[in-house]
Amino acid sequence: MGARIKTDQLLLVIFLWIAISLTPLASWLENDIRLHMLVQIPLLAMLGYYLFYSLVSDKFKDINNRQSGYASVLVASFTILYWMIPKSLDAALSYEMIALLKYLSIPLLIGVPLALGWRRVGPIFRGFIIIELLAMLFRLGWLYRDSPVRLCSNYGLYEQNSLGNYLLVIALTLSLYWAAKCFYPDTDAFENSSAGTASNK
Amino acid sequence: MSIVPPWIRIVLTVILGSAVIWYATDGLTTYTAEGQRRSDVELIPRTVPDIILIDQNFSPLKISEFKGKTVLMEFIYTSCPSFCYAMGSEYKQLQDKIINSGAKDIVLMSVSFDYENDNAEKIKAYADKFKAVEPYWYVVRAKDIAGLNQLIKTFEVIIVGNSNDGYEHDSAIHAINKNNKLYKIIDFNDDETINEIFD
Repeated sequence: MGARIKTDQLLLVIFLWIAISLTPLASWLENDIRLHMLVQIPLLAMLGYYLFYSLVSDKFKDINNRQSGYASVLVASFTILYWMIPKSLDAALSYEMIALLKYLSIPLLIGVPLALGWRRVGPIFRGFIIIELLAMLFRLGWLYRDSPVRLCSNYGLYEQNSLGNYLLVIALTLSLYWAAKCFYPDTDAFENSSAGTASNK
Repeated sequence: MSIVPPWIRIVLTVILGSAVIWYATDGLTTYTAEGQRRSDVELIPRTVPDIILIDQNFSPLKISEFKGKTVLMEFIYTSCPSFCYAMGSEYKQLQDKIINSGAKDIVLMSVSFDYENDNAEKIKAYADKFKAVEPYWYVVRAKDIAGLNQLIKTFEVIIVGNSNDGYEHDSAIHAINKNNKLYKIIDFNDDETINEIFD
């Protein structure tokens, strides 16, 4: 585990982190449920992931200890679950402290733990998490698409139904992507080829 | 890497994670802010701010004048193209029910939340359109915007604009008890609960 900090990447991550959480850009993203859930939240999680790798060497990916990642992936799973509860999203819009919790917890408790743990859990557990994620996207997609009532008090029904459609498209695309990966495991983009971990174990 | 064995970390994470989700959803019962608002109100009824309202006959009134009666309050805006029509029809039916059953201790009230656009004439036109008649059904606007905001804040009603230059509807009936306390929030088409109030 080399300790060389990638300063450029770190600065970019922090810049984007501030931009999408503390500037008018944040209000703009949060003004539409689709941008809120499909852009801001995934972006925050990705920033956590890149934050981790700007502080930790890429060689960290090579550590092949199958025991060490489970707790991290579970932390990320529970945090995702929490932010998928409609009322959490509303609370983040109504209370500044919850908004702050969102800006901190999504990068630090989703992005960072996934960077930390994803390569260090077994393929079955990984498959389980992926299936659960897909199932969640499908369920939420259907729910948001078909619900005649608004699930988030801060957003309109039209935007909510439209979000449902987007979620279904995303879930379907990801399903096809992962299905294809089952047949062509060598093209596994998630694995680092130099690591030689799950796919050729 | 860590002095804590992996399985202990996993168990602790699952316990802590489940506890957070359990707490956040009130024991897996409440998932939406609207659901939270409703159960909060039922648990602890809220005193309705006694603001001055102006009714369809241009006369001022206050909630405290309805002590001893149950007030069923809804929020409307008169330029609403579609949904208010359903709510208006529902209130019209309730008004008929009050008149026919002689339920003199129930009062209907439609409050405009569109302070800028809904002037006294528009309130009157809305009342005429649905044949709202006092003392059964009061269509009102707040006398001043501060009062309206106070009411909306107490009720935790969130007004959201929609893409058609209108507003999303809070499709709920707010039941205010005989002591002027908001004690129940009901879907406007939840006939069963509404009938319970009439019984």
